[in-house]
Amino acid sequence: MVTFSDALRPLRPLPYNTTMDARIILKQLLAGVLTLWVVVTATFFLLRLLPGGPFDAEKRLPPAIQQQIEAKYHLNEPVWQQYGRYMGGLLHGDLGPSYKYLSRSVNDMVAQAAGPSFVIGGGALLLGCLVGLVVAIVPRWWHTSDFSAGHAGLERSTHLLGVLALSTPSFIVAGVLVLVGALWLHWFPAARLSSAHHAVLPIVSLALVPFAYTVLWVRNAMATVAKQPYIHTKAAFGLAHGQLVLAHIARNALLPWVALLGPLAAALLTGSFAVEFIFAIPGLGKYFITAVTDRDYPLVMGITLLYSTLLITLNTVTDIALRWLDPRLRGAAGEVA
Amino acid sequence: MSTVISTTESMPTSSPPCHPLWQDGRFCWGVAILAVMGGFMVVGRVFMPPPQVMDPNTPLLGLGLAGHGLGTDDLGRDVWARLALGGEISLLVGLGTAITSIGIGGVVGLLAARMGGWVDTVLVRAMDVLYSLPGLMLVVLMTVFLGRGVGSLVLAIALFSWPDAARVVRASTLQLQQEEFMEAYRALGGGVWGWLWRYVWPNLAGVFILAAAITIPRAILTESTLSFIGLGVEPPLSSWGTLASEGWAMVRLAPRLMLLPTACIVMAMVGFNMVSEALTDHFQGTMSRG
Repeated sequence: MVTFSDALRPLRPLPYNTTMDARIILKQLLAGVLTLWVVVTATFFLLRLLPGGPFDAEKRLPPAIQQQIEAKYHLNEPVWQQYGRYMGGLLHGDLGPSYKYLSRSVNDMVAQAAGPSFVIGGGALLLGCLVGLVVAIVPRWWHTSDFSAGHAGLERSTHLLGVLALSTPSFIVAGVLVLVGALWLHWFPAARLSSAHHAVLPIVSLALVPFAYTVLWVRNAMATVAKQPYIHTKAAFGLAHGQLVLAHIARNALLPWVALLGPLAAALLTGSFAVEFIFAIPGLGKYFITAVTDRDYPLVMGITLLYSTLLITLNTVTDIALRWLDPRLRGAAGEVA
Repeated sequence: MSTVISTTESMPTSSPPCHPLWQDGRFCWGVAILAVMGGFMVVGRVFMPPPQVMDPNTPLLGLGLAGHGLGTDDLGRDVWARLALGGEISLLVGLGTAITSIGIGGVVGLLAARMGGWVDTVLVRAMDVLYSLPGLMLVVLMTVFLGRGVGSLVLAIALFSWPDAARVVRASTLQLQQEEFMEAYRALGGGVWGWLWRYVWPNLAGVFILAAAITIPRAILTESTLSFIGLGVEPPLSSWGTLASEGWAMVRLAPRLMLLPTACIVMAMVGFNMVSEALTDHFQGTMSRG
């Protein structure tokens, strides 16, 4: 017999089906590796199909030198052999030599460029999510007479703020921040990344992306959760408003937001291209663009591979985290994110 | 007192026969913003000097001077007219991408929902794979391959944005298949074409519009970002992103040259985002995946 106090108790976790979960995670890892292979292969052949080669200069090189260069980088071999050679190197963690920056390896360059990109991207993700969560939760937590509703005016302005943030590309924020913060007020340096002080403007402009998604999603999910009967029951039993919002509404509303973190990282990458461009930061986005225009195939491949690996890993980790957070998903087949 | 209350309660609630969407504030505001943008562009095209005319004697005029409502750029071209022309390119990319994505995504979504089984699994898996890839990088690679005209940009962006449309169409078709009249149709042995023409099209027309409303702002965002970093539409053409990029180069001299196109982008994005949010709530009840 189910009593009312049973209904109030948090859901007991289902018996944890570890083998089932391990099998699903293994399956996802395999799918991830397969996806990476498809990406590498497609990028490799796409680049080889492009008209023009990496060493076509305006002035034609003497044929002997041209041949020697092509032999050095194995560009005179059939495409299949080049592919085999590249994949072989990849399996040993070797991304090959750069075609443009002679005597530098792609591993080296990617490792160097990843630093600034990750500092800015990670900082923006952290800042945007934290501020977004506060902005999304406060209007509902703000006490009103209605038990599960929040402050209506605040809620509406929060929504407007979210839509506005979603509608503003990062390059626009970055441009306006440089104009106001650096050129007019002289509070921050306008470009480069040599100190923490330099990182403020790029991080803030990029943080708008996770901020917008967090605000809109959490706000929306909280509105849905607040309408659930169990929230009404808890409120009817006299649970304090703050506890109701924080421990029950927000906690449940955060689940779909966790699932969003994977795609969010992808959106951050998009923004970081333009932000690195504006602030002249030697990060992955900037290297990628110059590598594409320079036809530096191995560097293009290296950066594409790094980003794809990162995204696929993030999506898998998010998926595992969701299974761990939400007992209803444990042992459930297929992807949850 | 009591009579007043009873009259208001007995008033017919559905007095004007207008679409329920118009009762959604977001939809009204979005449409209003887009209408203002449209008016702004028409004025720029019709009443301002043509955007190609250069006048080296009047570079960098300020706002409201000598027949140029919003001044001139460094080559003496009218800023308002250039904004209008740039807006046409940006909107063209947005609309073109939406139509192409819906073409691909619609077919994929319908196929997945109708065939079910392994076809559905494979197609959904393919969408997940596309979602988990760094979209902008691949669009950049595709533009190098396809060229940088409006058509190639549309194709490049659509190649990575169709899963949005496919997801929406698939979900709605699956929902439609659950209806009792669909079960009756299947029981009567109805064919594919009747299914498409008599059931899918009338029931899903709104969903196609929704898919377009989701895709357009994202395409405009991608295009403007590409154009801003110099990988979007090429010189004789210019979009809002290109104009913002040119303005960025002269931001110390005339900040307005960067601020005006960026304001246009934000306005259009807000308009489309509000409309698409209202449409999503109307057709699906909840916000779709971002």
